[in-house]
Amino acid sequence: MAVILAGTASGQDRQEQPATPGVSEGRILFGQSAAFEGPAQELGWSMQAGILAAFKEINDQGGIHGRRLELRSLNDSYEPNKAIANTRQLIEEGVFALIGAVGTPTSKAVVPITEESLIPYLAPMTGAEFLRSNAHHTVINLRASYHQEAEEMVKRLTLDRKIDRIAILYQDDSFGRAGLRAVNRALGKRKLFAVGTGVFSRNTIAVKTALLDLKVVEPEAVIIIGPYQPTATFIKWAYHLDMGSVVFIALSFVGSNALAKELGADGTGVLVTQVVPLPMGDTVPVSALYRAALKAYDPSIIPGFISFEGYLAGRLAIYALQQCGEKVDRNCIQSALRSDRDIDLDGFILRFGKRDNQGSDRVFLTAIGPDGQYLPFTALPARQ
Amino acid sequence: MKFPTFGKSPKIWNQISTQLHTSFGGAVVLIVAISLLTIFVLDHIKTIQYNINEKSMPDMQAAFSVAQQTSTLVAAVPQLATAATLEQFKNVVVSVGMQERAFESELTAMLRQQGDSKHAQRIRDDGVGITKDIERIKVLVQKRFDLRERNFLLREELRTVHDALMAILISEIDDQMFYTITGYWSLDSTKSPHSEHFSEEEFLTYRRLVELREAATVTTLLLATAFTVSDAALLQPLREEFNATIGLANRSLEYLEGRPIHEDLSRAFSDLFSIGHRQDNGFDLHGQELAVEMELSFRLKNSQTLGAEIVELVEEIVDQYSLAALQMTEEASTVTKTSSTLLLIINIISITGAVLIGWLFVERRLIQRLGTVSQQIKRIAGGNLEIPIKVSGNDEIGDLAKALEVFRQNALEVQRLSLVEQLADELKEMYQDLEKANEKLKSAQNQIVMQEKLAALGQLTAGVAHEIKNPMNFIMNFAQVSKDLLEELLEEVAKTRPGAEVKEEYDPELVDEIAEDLTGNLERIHEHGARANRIVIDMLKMGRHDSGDWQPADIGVLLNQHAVLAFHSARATDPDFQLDIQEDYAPDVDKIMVKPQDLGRVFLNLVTNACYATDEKRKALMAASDNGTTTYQPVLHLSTQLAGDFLEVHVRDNGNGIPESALNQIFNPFFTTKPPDQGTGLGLSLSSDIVREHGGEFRVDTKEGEYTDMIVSLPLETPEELMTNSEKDEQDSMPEDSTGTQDGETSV
Repeated sequence: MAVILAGTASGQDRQEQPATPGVSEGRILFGQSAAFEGPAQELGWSMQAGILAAFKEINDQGGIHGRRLELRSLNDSYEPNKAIANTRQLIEEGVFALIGAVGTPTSKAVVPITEESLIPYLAPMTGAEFLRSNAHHTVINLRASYHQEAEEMVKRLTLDRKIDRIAILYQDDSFGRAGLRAVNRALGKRKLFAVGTGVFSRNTIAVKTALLDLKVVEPEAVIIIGPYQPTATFIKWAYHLDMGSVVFIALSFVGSNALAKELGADGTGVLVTQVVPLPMGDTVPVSALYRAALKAYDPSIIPGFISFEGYLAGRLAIYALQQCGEKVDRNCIQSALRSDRDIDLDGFILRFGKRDNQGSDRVFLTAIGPDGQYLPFTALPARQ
Repeated sequence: MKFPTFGKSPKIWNQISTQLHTSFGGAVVLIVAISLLTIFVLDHIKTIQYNINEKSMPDMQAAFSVAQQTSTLVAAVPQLATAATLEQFKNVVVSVGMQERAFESELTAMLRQQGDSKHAQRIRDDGVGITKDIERIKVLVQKRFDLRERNFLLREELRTVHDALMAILISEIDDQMFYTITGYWSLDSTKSPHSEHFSEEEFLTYRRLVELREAATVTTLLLATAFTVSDAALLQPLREEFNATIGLANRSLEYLEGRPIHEDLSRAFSDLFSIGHRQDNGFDLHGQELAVEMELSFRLKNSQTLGAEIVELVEEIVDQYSLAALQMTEEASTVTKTSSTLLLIINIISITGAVLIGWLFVERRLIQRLGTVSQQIKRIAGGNLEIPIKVSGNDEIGDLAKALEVFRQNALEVQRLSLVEQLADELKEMYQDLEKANEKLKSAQNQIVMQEKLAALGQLTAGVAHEIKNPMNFIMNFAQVSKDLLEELLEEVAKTRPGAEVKEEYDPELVDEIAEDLTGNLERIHEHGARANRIVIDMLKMGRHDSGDWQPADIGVLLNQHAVLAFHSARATDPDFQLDIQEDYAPDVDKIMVKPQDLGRVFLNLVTNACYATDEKRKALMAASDNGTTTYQPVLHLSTQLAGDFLEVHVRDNGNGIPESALNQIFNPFFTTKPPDQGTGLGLSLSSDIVREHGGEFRVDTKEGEYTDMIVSLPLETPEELMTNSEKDEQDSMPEDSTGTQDGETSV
């Protein structure tokens, strides 16, 4: 690397850009800061598995123009401070781009650094609205926003279930408040308002007081904005308090598979909005490809939404690099993606534009089936 | 030969050497005077400088060094306090240590020199004070690092303890609240009876838990605040509030005694309280920090003050010395001023003297004259010995010039001698060359003349043939008539023979008459034969190579003969040729001595030219007229006139005349206006030579288009020398030409 840099600096052709960090003859190195320890670690591991499955898939085919894709992952325990430190370290180590970060508070802390360093920030696993802003040049969002998830939730509850008494439970942090705003907006659009709101502390499962707060307002549905542990605790206690007729509906960020596991038998009928298709489904060809890639990467991992999102993030990065051709730099990633054209990842369609840094607007409403598997919402009748 | 010599040497006072020596002597005296003065002044200044250099300067220097080092040291001291890391601090300690040692050594050096002065004593005391301050600052900063580290650890501990405590309290409060309302402790447990969970006791427990949460928050905040205050006085109120909050918390904890959560909470709280209570607690630690900071700032300030005082003291010392030095300097400057005035006067005298010597003596008396001598020597070297050497004065240069003049005269004599010899040789050589060239020229001339003669001969042939044909006709006619007469005579004579049949009577008168006629005829034949013979001889003479003999000739006859020849020659080549020859010769002219053949050639040439000129004009006029005829009548007027001692021969034609542009060239060899095959261009050139040989001259009177009058003036008395010269020429050339002449005669 040092040799390449020095060679270019003293070389005759000064018009050429200096060597792009992380890109060498034989490889392209990505960086990831995500939670690999603590309550949110399931999300980090799944995201990483999905990305690595996609990378292995393309590497087994000979890489991109002879370059293997590699990923350097650092743990931030879902803590913004650590995410900042990790990001600085990754940039210093010379990664080409950042990919697959997990969480809203962490992303919020990191994006100013990526903007300053002009390093691509690909497919963070968050739907926070602030990342979907034209002010950010480096951020490329794969998934639909929380607003869109919230919109889908409210739309389906009000239209399909004719529910208008909707309450909200949210975690008292930037993620939770972002979700709260999104839901309130979706409700406001329909001249509705939340019949009640409950709040719980971050990194705790102290949700029961909030449950009491919500129980008294007798909601027909509770939209939960939080990670799977407090969510599951809340739902379990809610059933315990005979709130069986209430529809519980969680944001994709909850960690769907973990939630299903945590809820066990209580999970049946709980709704979760998803930003990727069903991992075990076959509505689009990419699902089967994902499963095959994941199996090739590590047969012991059970397919899930987060690792699917990670896989799609990897595929998106691969697509962009292929568009760049042999000469890869950070600018060409942006221009390759923000082309105002459909990007077809084997049936999963993305589209970015000059003023649109979010690829997918799709939100899939799913429900946990009796066996703990996710099904399309439409396939499940209302819980009695 | 006697060569000039030069006289005696100049008088001693006139000699340059004497004058130069005197000048040098004067210069030496002046220099000695200047040197003495300079030595005196320098010595005085040296004494003053010694006082400054050896006494004041080192003392001032030492004091300065101390002040400088003090400033450096005092400036370096704050770095000890501002070091951000321990490592940085250690580096600063090393560098400050070096400054310290340097400071001490400067201080020692100064004290050694002026240790007894009051200022020095004070400086020493201040220096000791600074050193003490620095040692103390080092200790303090070290302590501060220590405290900072402990402080940091304490804050980390506070955070951890607080988080743990809050985790317990939040969950517990959540659970307590939920239990109080619902009667459930956990998902597994059964629901408590309403009177049990919805009781006063549970509500109070909830309240105590909330109070504890508040206490935890407040104590944490108080500690956190304590870490940040900048005034130690503010710490005490914080500490009191902290203790009061702990009292409240302990009351709440007491109430919760016996509950499962009590133990965990007690431990977590005691951890939290310990941070504010134990030895080296947060308040104390920060208090120490503040104390350290305070002393540190005092020590820093103190060291700065002491440093400033040292600098001030040094300034006072320096002021004292400066004053002394100023006085000495003034003294030196007075001396310098006086002596410089003296030196200026001496200098003016020297320079004036030097200028005067340089200008009056060296420039005017030596250089200029030497330059003159030098130029004259150069001239002689260049070979010009004619101009005499003149340099005024009677010194060595005058001597030199005189000697040179003697040399020049001698050399000139020698040069002249050799020049004469050389000239003689050159003349001889040139003469020989000229001789050779002359011979060559002569032989070439002879050849050219011969050619011209042959050309003239060719021209004459036609005329000659006519001349001969005429007598021959007479001879043939008279011979025929004589033959007839002879036959008639024979008939008459036969009548007188016996037996002859006499038809007619013999007439002796007739016989006499015939005989008379015959005699007359024969005489005529003889006459014409002689004439033919003469023509041939004349022709032979013309063709001869030599120029013929000098003999008296009637110029008119000569002109007439050659005019006729030329006319016939022209007539022979062109039957249409017409020319009216009018002759008008001066009577009573004696024969003059000429070379008839040569002069005849001149006339022949002139008349031929006249024929040509008139013929050309006639032809041109005929060609120009419409009917091919012209009224133009070519006329040649030949005449002789006496003009003093000369006889002028005019050959005047009314031909085309000679253009003025050609007039200068007509006597040049090879100049001709005729077509290339009709003239050699030598005719007039040779004619001119011939006329000159006769001591005569050619003149031309012409008008273009009208006439040409060629005038040959011949001396009536040909000069004797001309005839002898040419005689000699003739004899020289005779042997070569004799055979040719013989051949010519026999062949005709």
